[in-house]
Amino acid sequence: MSKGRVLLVEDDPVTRRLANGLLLSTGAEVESRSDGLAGWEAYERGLSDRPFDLIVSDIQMPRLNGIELLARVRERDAEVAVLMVSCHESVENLRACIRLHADGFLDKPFHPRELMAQAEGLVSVGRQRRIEREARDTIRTDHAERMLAGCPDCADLAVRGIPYMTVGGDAFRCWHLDERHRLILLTDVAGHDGASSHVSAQFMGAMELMIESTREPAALLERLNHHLREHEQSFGRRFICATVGLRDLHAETLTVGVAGMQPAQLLLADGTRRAVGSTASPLGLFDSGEWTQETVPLPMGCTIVLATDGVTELRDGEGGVHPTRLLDLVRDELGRHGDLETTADRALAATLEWSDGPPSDDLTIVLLSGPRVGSDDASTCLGSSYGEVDRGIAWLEAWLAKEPLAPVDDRARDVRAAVREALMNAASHGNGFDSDKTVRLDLSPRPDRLLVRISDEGEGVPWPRDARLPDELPQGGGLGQPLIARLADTVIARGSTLELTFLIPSEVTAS
Amino acid sequence: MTLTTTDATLCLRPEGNLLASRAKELTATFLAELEGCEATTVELDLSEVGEVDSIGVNIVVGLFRECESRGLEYVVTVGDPHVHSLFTLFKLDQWFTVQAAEHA
Repeated sequence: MSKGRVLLVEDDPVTRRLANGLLLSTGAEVESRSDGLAGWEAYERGLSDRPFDLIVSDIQMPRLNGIELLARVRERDAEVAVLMVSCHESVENLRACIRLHADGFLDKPFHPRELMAQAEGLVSVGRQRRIEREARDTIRTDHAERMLAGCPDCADLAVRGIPYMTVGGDAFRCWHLDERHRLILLTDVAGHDGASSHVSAQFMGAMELMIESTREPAALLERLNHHLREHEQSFGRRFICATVGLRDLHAETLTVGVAGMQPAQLLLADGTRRAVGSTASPLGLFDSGEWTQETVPLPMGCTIVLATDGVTELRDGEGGVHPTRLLDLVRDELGRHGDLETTADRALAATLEWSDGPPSDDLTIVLLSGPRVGSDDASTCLGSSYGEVDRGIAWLEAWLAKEPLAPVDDRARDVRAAVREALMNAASHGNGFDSDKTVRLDLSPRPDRLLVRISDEGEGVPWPRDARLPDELPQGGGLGQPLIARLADTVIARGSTLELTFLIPSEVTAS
Repeated sequence: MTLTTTDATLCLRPEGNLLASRAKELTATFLAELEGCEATTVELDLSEVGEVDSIGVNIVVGLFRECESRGLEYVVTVGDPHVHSLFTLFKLDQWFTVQAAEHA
């Protein structure tokens, strides 16, 4: 086995040949490059294949100098050790190297023993730092497309982080009860060893039995608790924290019951949040408990956040307690880019940063959005601007030609006309003819309705002051909104966003 | 572990945290102390405990059950705010007294 991998970047052929031989003599595997850019390319290739433990780099080089190379490397990698070889370098350059966390310096001309000794030591440093980082980051991520491939209506994403050398008992499951209802269960079993994982599997089996008799979250929690107490031995006397959610796809609601976990959090599109479901005792600890449930509407654009545990993300190394920082992070991330998967990954990464040493327990974050827009599985979204209306309309026509609206009947034709008009109005009037303003259209088909969201950055063309609008139409918001609203079944205006619902007759969806 | 006994109260004060790695040791110690206990109240003093994991909660509740079965009153004293919030989250205070340590 080689004693580390070293990248040597040196433009002077004599020095390069000499250093290459010396490094090889330490037992290291060496790759040599003759300028900074070639060195950078070799380094990048190494990242995806076999990363280097040490970079030995000259400073003055063509194409990309050593300091520029070091800066690029440090943007990607804080672990690899870097030994800078300099020749009467200016103080500014040396300072730059220190600022960029070079690990060592060697003056030319150097003594062979000096290079070999520094290289051997720094290879160990780089290797050790990489091992430690990998241990910190040994976090397995189960993405929704694998876990939830069969039921996008239940939850959008369930991500589980499993720290190094931990098993953990977190689990997430969902059930299709019927066409309209979905049941979700998030659990966290006491302990984080092989037994907790076993108990978790047993508990899911118990849940399978319970949903035969009830689907109400509070009743399910009570029966599960009874089951655990009755079969205490077979569950290893472990208690279980759980959140049960019943989602009604027609009413667009979620009913939540919580046992021993932080309450679910409803994040609304405007950035506000509220707890859903008050927590009661974990299951299996006591013979009775006061498990309750709460039903909340899921408006378009909202996200429900469920998370197991709460220990890692709640406290810091100094004993401070931060009960909301995970939620704050999720809210901020969603507000910034709206991407659930990135949000969940960053939340897991943050818990690693926050923990005092490697976290000892697994953590699962479940994100569940309300009537969804812009997701890949149930809807598609379009970013359009004034200059792109034609493209948007073509896209819309293509989308409406697909199931479930085809074959087109009268109602489907109405829907087509309404959405078309909505887009036309938003794009041509709503943005005030300003081609820099973006109009975004999101469509989301549900079993019995089509949900449309139009987000318009523009201020709109104001309705004439003396105009009288029918009371049922939204007042204000520019010319476009009332025109669109007369064709939609429901209209909700939120700032510059318009949410529309078009009911679709069952014979159309059935077809 | 520090042990204090008055006529009415047996005070158990574990040193270090209540973690899964110490479950067997702590459970055995607590049960041993309960044997022959003539006090009417058992106080589990966690005022110096900074961390309680899920198995630690099991230990606290297990001791409660033992006390309950022996007809003993059970009181837990907590110093760390995080431990206190964990006990509140789990609603343990609905089953036995959870009181803040004087210095907390």
